Parts: sequence; C-alpha cells; structure tokens
Amino acid sequence: MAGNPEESVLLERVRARDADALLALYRMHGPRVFSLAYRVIGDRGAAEEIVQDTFWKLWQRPEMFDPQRGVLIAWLYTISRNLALDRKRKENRRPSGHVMTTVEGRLNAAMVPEMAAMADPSMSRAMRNAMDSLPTEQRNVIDLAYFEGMTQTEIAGRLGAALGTVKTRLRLGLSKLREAMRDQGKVNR
Amino acid sequence: MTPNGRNHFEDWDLFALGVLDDPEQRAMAEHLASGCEDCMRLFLAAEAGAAGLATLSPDEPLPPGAEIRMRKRLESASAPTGTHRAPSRVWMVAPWVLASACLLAAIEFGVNLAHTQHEVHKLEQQNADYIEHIQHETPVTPANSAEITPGQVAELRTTIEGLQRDLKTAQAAKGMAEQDMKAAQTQLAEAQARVRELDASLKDADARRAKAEDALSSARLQLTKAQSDADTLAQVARQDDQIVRLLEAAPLNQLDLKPTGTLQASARVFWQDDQGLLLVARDLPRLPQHGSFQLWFYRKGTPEFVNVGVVQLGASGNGLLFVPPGPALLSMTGALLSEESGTASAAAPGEEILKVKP
Repeated sequence: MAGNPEESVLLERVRARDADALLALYRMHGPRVFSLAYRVIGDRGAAEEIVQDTFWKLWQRPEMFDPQRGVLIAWLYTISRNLALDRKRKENRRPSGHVMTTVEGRLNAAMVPEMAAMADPSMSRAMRNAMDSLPTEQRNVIDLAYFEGMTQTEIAGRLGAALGTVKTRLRLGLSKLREAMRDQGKVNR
Repeated sequence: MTPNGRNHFEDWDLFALGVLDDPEQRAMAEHLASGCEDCMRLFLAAEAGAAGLATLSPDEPLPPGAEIRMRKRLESASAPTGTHRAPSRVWMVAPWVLASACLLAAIEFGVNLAHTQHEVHKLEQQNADYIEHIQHETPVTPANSAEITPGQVAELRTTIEGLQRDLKTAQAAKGMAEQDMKAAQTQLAEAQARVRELDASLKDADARRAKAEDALSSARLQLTKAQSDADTLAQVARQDDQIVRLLEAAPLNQLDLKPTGTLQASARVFWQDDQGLLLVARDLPRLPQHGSFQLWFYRKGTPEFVNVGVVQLGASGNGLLFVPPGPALLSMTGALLSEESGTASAAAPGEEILKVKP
C-alpha cells in the first residue's frame, strides 16, 4: 500500500537517484523519525545522525522498501530505532542485549490494518490514548522494551519481577495497543 | 506457527519488539527467513504494531540545518572523489552553519527557566561573537565561497534572522518569567508571614488550652471536695435529726460516767431503746498523737465489753458520740469510756477514763 501518492512519486524518484526527492522525504518524515531517535538516545546531535543514517539506508538500497505494499514511516521507524538502540548500547559499553528484530525489506510485505493505521496522521493520538489507558505496570514494561531496548530478562531484573510476569504484562499491553491500531486502521481504510 | 509448533500470536509481538532472549529471538528470525507465509503475516502485523509505538515519542523538531547536512552527505556520496560519509558535525562545515547551530543550541538552553538569565546572557555573547566572527574574521573569500551556493547563504541568513527573532522571544519570555518569579516570591513571602502568624496563633491556642485544662482539673477537684463536704454535712444533719429525736423521746434514760482516776472529766449517756444513745463528755484529757476515746457497753454474757464507737472531739476537750438503735444497745448494762492508742475501733478496752457499772 502507498502512504500517499506524493510519497510514492518521491520514492520512484529516489530509485532514479534523485537526491532532491530523498530530501523531500526527509522533510516529510524526518521530524517524526528524529522524535523517536531522540526519545531513545536522548542526544540531539546523535539523533540527527541516526535520522541521517536511516535515510542514507533508503538512499543506498531503495529496493528494500516497496511503496505498493507498505508504509514508509513504519519502515523508517524500525530502522531508526534499531540504529538508535545499537548506538545506545555502544555508548553504554554494554553488549547487545538480543538479536535485533530487523527483517529489512519484509516489513512492507503485507497489507494489515495496523499498517493502514501507520499512514494516518491521527494515529499518534489514538496510540497515546490507548497507552494512557494501560495500567502503569504494562506501560512501564512496554516503555523499557521499546524505548530502552531492554530484553524481557533485563526488564525482569530491573523491575525485580518474574520473567513470566513481564511477558504477561507485555502481551496484555501490546494486545491492547494493537487493538487500538487496528481500530484506527479500519477507520482509515 | 512458531518454531516450536505453537501458534502464539503474542510471541510475534514480543519478537517484533525485540525483547526475547537471544536463542528464541534467533530461532524465530531463522524461521521467518525459511519463508513461512503464515508466520510472516503475523510478524508483519506485529512489526507494524511495534512501529506504532514510535508515535508515542514526544514531537521534537529537527535541529536547524539538518536538511543541509543531509544534502551535503548526498552530494559527498555523488562526488567524483568517491563515496565517503559526509562530516555530520556542524564545525566541519561553513562558519555560517556553525553560527546557526550554536545559536539554536544556545536558544534551547535560554528557554529553560531555571537557567534563563545565565543562558540568555550567554546567547547574547555567543551571538555577538559569531556575528563578529562571520563579519570580520572569516569573510567569504573566493576560496571558501565556492563551497557555499548563494542560495545556501540566503537560506542561512534567513535562519540566522529567525534565530535572532527566537532570541528576542526568549528574552521576552525571560522578562515574563522574572515577573512571574517576583510575583511568586511575593506570594511566598506572604504565605510565609501567614504561616508565622498561624504558628503563633497555634502556640497561643496551645497555651490557652493548657491553662483551661489546668482550670478544669482544679474545678473537678473542688467539685469532688464539695461533694465530699456535702455528703459529710448531710450525714451530720441526719445524725443531728436522730439526736434531736432521741432527746425528745420519752421516757429518756440517762446515766453519768464517773472518772476512774483523778481526772476532772465527766460524761453522761442518754438513750432510748428505739432512738439510740447519745454520749456527751466534758473536760476530757489531752490525747497523744493518733489516740482516741472510745465508748464500750457492759453487757451480760461473753464478751463482757462491746465497742460501740469513737468519740468525736470538740476544740475544748468536749466529746460527742451518737449510737443508733440496735442489739448492742438493748443488751447494755453499763458503759465505759477508754483511751486507745489508735483511731480504729479496739478489740478490748484500753486505759479506762470514765465508766458507769451496772
């Protein structure tokens, strides 16, 4: 699926090695990607470099993303988060806590309601509302997992909770958030 | 299906989030790579869900000049000298960019109220330094002007003007913040004064309460004493009534008790079987400390003496004792007044003072 017609055209031009098209995409999605990178890494200079590296990946291998079957912003989020977490671990001089989930190039391989929701600018508000409605303990584990990049074992150690408890909290919280996304995606379709 | 044969959708959520531990995360990644269509669909939905979490990040604007730096990187990559990563730090590019970035960084700090005054001052200083630097120390010469296009220069000028406007806004915000701070300090001082007043009032109230409690305690003691006095007076009044009725009774019996030694003391008893007995004594000797005069009846049978009470002494050696009617009175055949060493009723007569034998 295409995020929007303008985005599709720009991606075509990127494939044709048009730097201005990439910069237009940078202007379109850069602030959102920067917000995520800054939330993870907490340093504006480093976050800017992560945004640059994310778009650089798109520039170098535009075929990794198919605009007919996915949403660019979701792909950019995934790449930038992984880059930010990698960098955070290096700066903290601790080994990678787990195998990164990046299955680059396949994120866009199917049409799902959650994907449709990503194209909706109001999705952020729906997600925040859903997140606010979660119990604190579920919010905390999701926060540690997504923004801090901690594994379930590391979260259990941090919170002094049983591994099973952490898994349960994650599953329940994610389930509710995905439900909110699906609802938003259906509205968007 | 998951690699272990279960169809746990939640596991793909955890996998997409990247929270599983290494072996499980690796096994599921390998399973995806094997081409399982069902799991790929589940994973894609989970991956989109995880990406949706990114939207929870608070909105942050890109740093000024970020797009220019991205462009520089792209241009470096396409340059004939080869593809290398363009410098990403601002001090590696033109002084104009350096000035822009530094000014923005300073403005970011300037809006922080906790450091507003210090930071705005720093901003102003930096602004002046950079403008001087740009205008005097590093003029745009043919050598370096080739690196910056006129369009970029115009864009940077616009950026700097924008930053200067932001600086003025920050200064205005600083002024407002200072006013707010003064107002808050005034309110704080007023509140502190009020707290001191309330504290003084509280202490005063505590002192008054303590005083009132003392007065209440004293009043309770007085009330107890007054009740005791009232009881005593009532008892005296009842006894006086009994004495009056005895003395008015007819026929009234009477006997005089005679001194057993050389004492000048004398006593007389009046009695009537139904009204009781009254002893009236005069010129009794001085008693030792804790001593008492006690009245005994002679009776027929054993024991020979029955203690009927302690004489109440007056100020001038006179004594009085009323004995209510009862069996002891009916069996009386004589009376004896003794001196005892204690004030409790004795078991046997002590020193005999006055007596009348049957």
